[in-house]
Amino acid sequence: MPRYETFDHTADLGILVFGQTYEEVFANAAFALFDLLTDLDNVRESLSYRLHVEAHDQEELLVRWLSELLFLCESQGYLFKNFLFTQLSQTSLQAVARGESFDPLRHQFKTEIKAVTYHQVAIKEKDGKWEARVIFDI
Amino acid sequence: MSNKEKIHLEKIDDYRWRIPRTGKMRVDGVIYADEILLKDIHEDESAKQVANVAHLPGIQKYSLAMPDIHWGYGFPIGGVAAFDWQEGVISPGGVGYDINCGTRLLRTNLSIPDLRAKIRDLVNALYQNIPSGVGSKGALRLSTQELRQVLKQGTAWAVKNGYGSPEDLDFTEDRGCMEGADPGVISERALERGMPQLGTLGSGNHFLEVGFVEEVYDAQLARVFGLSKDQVTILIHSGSRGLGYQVCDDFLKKMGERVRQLGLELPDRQLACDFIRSKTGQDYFSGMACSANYAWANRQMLMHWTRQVFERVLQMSPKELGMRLVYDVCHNIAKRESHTIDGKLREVCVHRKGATRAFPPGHPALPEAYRSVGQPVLIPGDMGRYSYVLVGTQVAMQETFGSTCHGAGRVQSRTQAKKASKGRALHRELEDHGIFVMAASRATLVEEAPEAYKDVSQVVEVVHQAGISQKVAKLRPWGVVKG
Repeated sequence: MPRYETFDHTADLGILVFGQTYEEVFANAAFALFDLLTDLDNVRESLSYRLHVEAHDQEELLVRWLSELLFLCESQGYLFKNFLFTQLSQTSLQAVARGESFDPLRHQFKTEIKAVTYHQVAIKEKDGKWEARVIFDI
Repeated sequence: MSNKEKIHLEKIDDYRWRIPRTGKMRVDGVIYADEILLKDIHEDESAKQVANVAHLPGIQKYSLAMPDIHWGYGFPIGGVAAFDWQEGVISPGGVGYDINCGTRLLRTNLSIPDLRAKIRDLVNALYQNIPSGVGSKGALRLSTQELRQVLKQGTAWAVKNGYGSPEDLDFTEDRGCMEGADPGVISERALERGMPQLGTLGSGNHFLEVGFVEEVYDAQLARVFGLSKDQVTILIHSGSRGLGYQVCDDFLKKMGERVRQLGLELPDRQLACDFIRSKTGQDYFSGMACSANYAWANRQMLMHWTRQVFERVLQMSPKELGMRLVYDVCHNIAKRESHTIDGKLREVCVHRKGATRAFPPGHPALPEAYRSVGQPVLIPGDMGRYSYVLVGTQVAMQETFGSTCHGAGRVQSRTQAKKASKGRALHRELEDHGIFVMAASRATLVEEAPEAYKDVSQVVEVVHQAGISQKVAKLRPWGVVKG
């Protein structure tokens, strides 16, 4: 099973994320974000960053989680590829993201993602597997 | 999209289609399109979005859409809606993430033969001197204090700091500064994202284009705007960069909470809004104004560097070059304006999301030089075909809150465009058409391939025939810098 696939939106880009668990779908969504931004093969895991996110429901939590990561990427130049959760519920999460800082000699941005949108955001469990969809404004 | 829902459209005339009010819609929807464009509109959910916007409190007359309408977040792109200033709402989704994304046009004293031997050098030099591309950072290092001044003053800040001349203010919508900008409402995050990006073009559909006037439709109007056939022009398309995206994001979150508190029933989460008079509504308006001002300062700086590059590469003085700003328009914004509704002049908040202001002759907001003819409207097309200069009309004032289209609108998704260009040398293809392109990444170039967009002339034809703006001139791209 792939971790995610992209789907088309005339102006933008959506991701359909898969996971065996609720937790895995959150990790894979974050992976998808950075995989779209840059070539993750060139990213080392030399840095850890702790995140704490809160929201009203699981959909908003997913959007806020990805927005937080996008902000860190744009403001600090962090590229993450690995995500572990120390706590995860419907309305809050604590996570450790691993990766490194952007290095113009080794890294390249593939796409600019302006924002993670709430449009048609969804997370659901189907036959014991999890699936989420998010649309990025690019 | 799986949940496609056909919206019933009634034909009003060849260029206007009504979405009759049903359910909890407060007003009808009206889409400006011809039969051909209507097919594209039915391909996505944008007509449904026009109907969704009609649900919002305080909406006046109609929920409108321009012919370049396509699917957006909450509001469609190409959407126009006005809300009563006292009882209506304001919605970040009705403005978009790239607040005050807009276009500015410069005229020059040059004509095609003057540039023929230099176009490559010129585009190369522009590419070298104007920061572009994903996450591009500018050469400027601003303190938070200075950034706050940018947010308050917009273009005036740029001019004060040596970017361009005071005359440029006259030819910028709102003189490059929206009132009510309060940097106090801007989050630390937005400041942090905006700080390094002032004076950068960005990526995606943003561009800087050297072109020429290929066709003049109205010689008298063109003369007033300073345009004539075969004349070299420059078109700049950029916005408020990460600062605007973050302001939109911050307020979508806040307004989402307000919608919950107020118990507002919305057909789409992305339509989050609040009453204009509320604290959150006022704060968003202030934050949006800050972002708009940032974008104006940004385009002013990009223009200043463009002028410098021309002077250096062509070894000509500013006077010889005559690089005057024709106009600068924004196409993602919400404005406080007065419009006649049911015979009465009323204060409204006009949301234009992928729509351009198109004020008629005589409007007090216009610079003196254009007051007798109307506001120039700039409609960028794709990089392979053409862009248009139009002028605002009285019909627009009566029907569309003084608004018209903003561009071509995509017909292919980015993935489709990528597939379609596999194995092709787009650079070469464009060069064969006489268009020289410098792009920060091949990916952007491919995603922005001309055929990924509607033919902008189709869109322009509709607004022209419907009378909500009139054609003045057509511009052809020659040298393009893409982010």
